[in-house]
Amino acid sequence: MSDFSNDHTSKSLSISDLHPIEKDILRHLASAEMASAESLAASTGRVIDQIRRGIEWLRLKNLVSVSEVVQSELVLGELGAIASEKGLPERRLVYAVKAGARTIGEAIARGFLEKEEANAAVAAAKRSGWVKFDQGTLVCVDTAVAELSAEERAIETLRNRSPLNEAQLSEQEKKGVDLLRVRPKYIVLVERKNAQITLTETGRQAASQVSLSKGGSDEHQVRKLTPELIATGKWKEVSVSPIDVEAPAPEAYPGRVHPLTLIIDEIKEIFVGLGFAEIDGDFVQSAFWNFDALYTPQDHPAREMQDTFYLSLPGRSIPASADQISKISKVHEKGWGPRWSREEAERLVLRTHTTPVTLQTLAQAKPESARYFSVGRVFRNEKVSYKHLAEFHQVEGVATYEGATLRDLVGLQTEFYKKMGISKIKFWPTFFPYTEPSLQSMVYNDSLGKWVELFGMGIFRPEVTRPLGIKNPVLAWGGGLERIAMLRFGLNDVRDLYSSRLSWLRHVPECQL
Amino acid sequence: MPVVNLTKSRLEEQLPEIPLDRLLEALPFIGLDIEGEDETAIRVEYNPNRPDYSSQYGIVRALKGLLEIEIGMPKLAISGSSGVSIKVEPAAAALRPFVVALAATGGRLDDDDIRQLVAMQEDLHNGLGRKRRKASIGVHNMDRIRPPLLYKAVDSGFSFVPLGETKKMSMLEVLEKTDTGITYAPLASDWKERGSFPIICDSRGTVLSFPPIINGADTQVDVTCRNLLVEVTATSRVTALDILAVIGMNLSDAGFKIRSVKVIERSKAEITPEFRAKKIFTTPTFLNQIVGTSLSPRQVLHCLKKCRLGASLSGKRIVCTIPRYRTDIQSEIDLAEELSIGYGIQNLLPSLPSVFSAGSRSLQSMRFDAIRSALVGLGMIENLSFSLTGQGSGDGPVSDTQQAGARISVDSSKSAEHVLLRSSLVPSLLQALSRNVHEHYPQRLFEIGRVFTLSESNAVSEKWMVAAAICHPDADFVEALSSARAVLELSLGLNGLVTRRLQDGAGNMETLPSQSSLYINGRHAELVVGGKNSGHVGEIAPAVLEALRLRMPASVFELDLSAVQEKTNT
Repeated sequence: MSDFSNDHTSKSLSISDLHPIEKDILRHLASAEMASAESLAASTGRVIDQIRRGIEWLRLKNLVSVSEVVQSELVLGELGAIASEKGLPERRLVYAVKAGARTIGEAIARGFLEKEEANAAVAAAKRSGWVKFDQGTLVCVDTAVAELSAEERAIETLRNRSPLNEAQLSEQEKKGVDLLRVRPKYIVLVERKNAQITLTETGRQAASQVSLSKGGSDEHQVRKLTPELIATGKWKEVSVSPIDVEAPAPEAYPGRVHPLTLIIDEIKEIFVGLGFAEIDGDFVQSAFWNFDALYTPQDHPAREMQDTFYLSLPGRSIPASADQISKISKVHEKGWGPRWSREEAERLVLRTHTTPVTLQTLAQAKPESARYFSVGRVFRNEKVSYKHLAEFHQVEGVATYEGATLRDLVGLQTEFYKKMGISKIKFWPTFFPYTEPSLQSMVYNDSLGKWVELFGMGIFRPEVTRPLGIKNPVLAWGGGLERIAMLRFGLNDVRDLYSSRLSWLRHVPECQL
Repeated sequence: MPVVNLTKSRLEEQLPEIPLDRLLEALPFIGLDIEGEDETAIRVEYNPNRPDYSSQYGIVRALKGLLEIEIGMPKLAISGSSGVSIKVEPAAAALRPFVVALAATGGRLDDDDIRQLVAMQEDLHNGLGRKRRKASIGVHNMDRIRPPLLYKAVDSGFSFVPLGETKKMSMLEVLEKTDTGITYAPLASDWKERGSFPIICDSRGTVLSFPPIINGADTQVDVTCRNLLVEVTATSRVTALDILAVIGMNLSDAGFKIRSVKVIERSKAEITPEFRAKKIFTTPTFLNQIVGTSLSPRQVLHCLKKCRLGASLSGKRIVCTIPRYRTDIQSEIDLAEELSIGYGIQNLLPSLPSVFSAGSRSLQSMRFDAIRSALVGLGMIENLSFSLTGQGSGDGPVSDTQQAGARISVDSSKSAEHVLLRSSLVPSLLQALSRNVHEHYPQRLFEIGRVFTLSESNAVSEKWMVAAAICHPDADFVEALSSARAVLELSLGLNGLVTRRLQDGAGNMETLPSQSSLYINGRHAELVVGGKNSGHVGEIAPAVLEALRLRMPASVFELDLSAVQEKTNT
């Protein structure tokens, strides 16, 4: 391609280097001399965009020249259009007289003519000798019936052959048009610019070669290189046809993990980086581990069915040792009053947080020092809306070691946020039944331009740790994951995350930190 | 969380030395979330463990401490007896065991006070009172009452004029016709059966209240009221006294004198309210240790006093006195939080543990990642759906895969889409395909998720599954099986499964013909790995496709990862 554009006199012009679109254009121009892009599109059967692209390539190769031609076209004017529909005023006057009108006034009154048309109608009709006045009464002349006047024929011509330029008119037609042009508003002259494509000298040579080669070269061109062509060596005898490499390709949809998985992975990596080990546990928990072991009184509102999903199954014996159960029941009776019900603790719930899993891990291992994390699903009996789901993910981390302090918790949380790219953080006091002291964290979101509540945290109460034999303070924090995902992916409706919409899953960009 | 409206004009009166913006800044640091603000009021949310924040007086009391305008335990004393007594009839105590009361005299209430009083009462009802079940409050115009009072039981025919009505209504009418009656009728359902209801009335028979449902109209409080009688009935005496202390403290701050009421049950008489402060012993070392500070004993005392607690040193110990209205402080650990609030949460500099700890992903989550990368490599998109699914209405044949007997459902779900714990991932994947009929094909989706089954012994078992759905003009059994094999061999370390089978015929992975209405007959198989049933593969039946409005063939596989992992671990 560069050969043509850089060296106009080059002899290296080879028609095999031409694109099929270019060939089509040249082939057509070889016979037509001059054409517009529209007419080329029509005659080659290609879309106009391809033709425009082809013309541009050929122009750069100096094979065609593009000139702008101004053409004036004859078009029916306002009155011409009316005449084309209803007939010229003089014609309508004749109709009126034939229908019995004896004066102009009557012709107007009977709707054949408009008042403004009266003078022109009479003048023209008299000039053509269609009507005459006989003692003040209009009389029709016989010849006026069948024959079309020159003006009438001109209107017919313009109606049928628009756009029309003067050069295309016959002598006869021109006379009628001239007559009509004398009358205002019947014919208008419109100027139109048109790009005309003509062959250059080199273009003419190329075009004749293309025309000659027509049919000849196609035998040696293949559209697709096949395994057979390669294996048999036939590829040496054929050429693979060029394609429109500038045309857009259809979209490809790679396989991908869910956007929420991306964020989960990111969070897991942060935890691992901070020295936390991953744990996991059942979704179905006893109320004992979900609530009682976490010092949530049995009449606490969060335990009601409006907030928690209870399974429609009878309760199960509590998966804890007799010692654990007895110690925890005593803690409840001391703190919340004398009636702790084992039956209530045996009920099965869909975990409302991941903390029962964390707690069981701690109770099992009783570590002097440990850091655990989990990212898992939790359930709340919520009315599902743009901001609430009944099932969502919770992130949780705990750290236990001798001398763990609230300031350490603030420090760990700050580190965690830093790794998530969040640096503006503040902490406020809050309340959770199983931690004391308790804090909530607020983080500043730049895109929302405001502080957003994120993770809650605290130190497990002694009422939680002591009965289970956990010696050192347990620092804990956690919160919902979907909120982070919503901020990250710019969603306003949390349900979008679980909508399974491919339009979103296929196109959502994998945002980096 | 409950909400309180703080009136700005009143805040200016109560805390004249502090500009409003400084107050707004301080509110979160006593544990209040600012919900909104307009020209006249600030809306704040408080945590239910702090019922003393249920009125503006309580919040101002805490702010005064934090801003060091007034520190230490606020004064709250009983100014003698009101001369009012309540006689408790055993029949009433059998219905709702406890009643306690106080009198508040010589105060003034404007419209704003009355609004706050009503709001506080509602918050206490919902919080400590557990929606009136555990405790309920009646506030009355004491000048309309002729003592002594009587807590007694009446029958269903008994009638009085309830608050908000003009005519007498029977107990049953109150429960069936008044708005509050209808709302709280479930609390009186036992009584309705027994035909016996508790009321509090005075010596002339004027009804003060029908607890916990409604007050009488005669003793309603208005702006002309100077003397109040507050009664609390409850199923827990401690809770009743807690509530009475919170109200007593707030009325005292509002300018009333608090006077006692004698409650007489059989031969026993008790004086209420009960304002005695609780003592908790701690040490500066313990508190500093929890918070991570190194404050001197004097500084610790000052921080505690800023939280309106009494605090003094006794040798190396701190004696902390907890005003009766601070129902949230149970033990020493609660004082650590008070210290951090008094010290100022914003002043807690982040520190990090010096203990070494190695982090790690769980083996399972690493396996899942390997499965994900294999399936993504096969051009699949990960789908996430809920483990708690709908009853299957409208899902057509898709829901049939779950056998009715093995279904695990939840009680009283607020949404019909979250009722049943799923036993397979396939229905959600097919639903996902159905939701995307207008998107480009091929479509290949997978999900890793948990499913739930009920064992014969009625135990719930949770299993991790991976499933994929393939949908395009040439989707078939073979593609699904090949994909499953890729997961087994590449992601789960079971390579060589198939070749070994060829060698020794041990049959490490087999596909056994199976039948299900979900699949085309003769194009469905159980996947058996190492002799264990571990999943299935199949082409979806056209009737199912049609029900899902799918116009493309689809095939699926589902693998029980828990079963397969057992195999790989051995």
